[in-house]
Amino acid sequence: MKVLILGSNGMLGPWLSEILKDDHEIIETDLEQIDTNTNFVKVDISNTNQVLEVAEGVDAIINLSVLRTDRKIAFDVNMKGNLNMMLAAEKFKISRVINTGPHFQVAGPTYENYDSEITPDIPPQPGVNLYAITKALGQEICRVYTENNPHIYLQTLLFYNFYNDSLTLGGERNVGKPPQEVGTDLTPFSIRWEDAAEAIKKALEISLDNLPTRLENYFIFADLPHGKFSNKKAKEQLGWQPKYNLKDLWSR
Amino acid sequence: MNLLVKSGNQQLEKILKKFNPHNVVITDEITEKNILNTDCLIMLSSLNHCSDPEELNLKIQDIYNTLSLCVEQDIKKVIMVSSLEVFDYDANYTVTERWKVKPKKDFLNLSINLSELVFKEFGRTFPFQKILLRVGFPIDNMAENKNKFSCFTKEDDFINSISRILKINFKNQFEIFHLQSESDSQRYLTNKLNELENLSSNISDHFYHPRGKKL
Repeated sequence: MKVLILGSNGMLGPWLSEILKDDHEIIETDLEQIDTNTNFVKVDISNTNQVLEVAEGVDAIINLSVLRTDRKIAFDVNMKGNLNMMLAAEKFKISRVINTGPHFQVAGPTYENYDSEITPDIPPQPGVNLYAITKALGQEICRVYTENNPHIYLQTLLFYNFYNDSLTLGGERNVGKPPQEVGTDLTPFSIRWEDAAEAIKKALEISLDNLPTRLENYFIFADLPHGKFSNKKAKEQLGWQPKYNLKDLWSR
Repeated sequence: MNLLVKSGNQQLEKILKKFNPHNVVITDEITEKNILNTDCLIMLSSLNHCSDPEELNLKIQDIYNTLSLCVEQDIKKVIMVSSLEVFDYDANYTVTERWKVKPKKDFLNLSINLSELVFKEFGRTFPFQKILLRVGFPIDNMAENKNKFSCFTKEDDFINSISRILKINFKNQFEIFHLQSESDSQRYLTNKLNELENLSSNISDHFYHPRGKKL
């Protein structure tokens, strides 16, 4: 497949492009040029024309872009960026759209503080946290465009905390920090980078005919014993199985 | 009452300007200064028109910023005037406040839907009175005579509805009301708003309580 990755220069992008590059023709995009062996195009996802230009002729779009803190840019990237992606999917009849975001764009504080066994198909309650609500607005745009365009299949994969093999928590704010101490527990929505990338690959490669509906959400995290959330749907529908359980952190 | 109206629709501004006996201020931009001493903020979910992604983006940012300021300044009541156009159902359906919104994908309709979403999340999170008033457009005293609209609102009906909403203490609840004027081809039901005529000033008197006890 010819696959467009938006926001490829984030923390997850390199892991994903590494496992896709042998089987797919990928176009990586981001605001700044990155070192890559694949095609790279400089694209600002909040620029409608740039997104439309780069999306022509692709079979699938994967959106990894995210902006968490600046109020204006968070709207530009998380909301308008999604609108631009869906305009491209509509214009060029792109069937497969894979969106990503944090789990709390669906399961905000009104769920997380109260409930357990939370599934990805609950009505979204992001609350007003800037990151959560702008991603939820972007997701609503994706939903409306998918419902109004019968050719589009939207899969949304939701993540939160990422760990590497030395149990250092991911994200730019953690670069250079020491690994997390074992036996100190972790947020019940954590995963290794490799497993996260593998879940996206599964979503990319599943036959669209095997999706129950054209709008599917998945919670993507390791097999953790907390019981707070459920990753069962991703495992059953996508055939995805996390390889790492991060046991060193949640057991003594 | 001190009413602050966020501008965006000239026709509505014209109607609200002559909204006696209230003190109405209409402004392009809500600031810490002009929101002081406001009893109720009235804001619009939609623009007059919305033709490109950036207009939509700025509109929703503005809704978020305005509501953030309301919370910071402890405004007690906010009315979002929205549109019944956010329901893309068959015209024969008995759409009420309990129905799920079904927006179209044009930018204007999408902006209404996203504005409501932001309002709902602020409503879910913070304790203030939040009233979502979905109105049938156009708001026009002559619309009925033109005989081409199944959904329109007369100016008096709009003003009367706002008056009623202002009088009632909604106890920090999130309430949705649908408004359109009566006509032979009336599309939307407005039972809930009509019932407000008979309410006292405390809406909690009108909720069901098990064994008659208030929760």
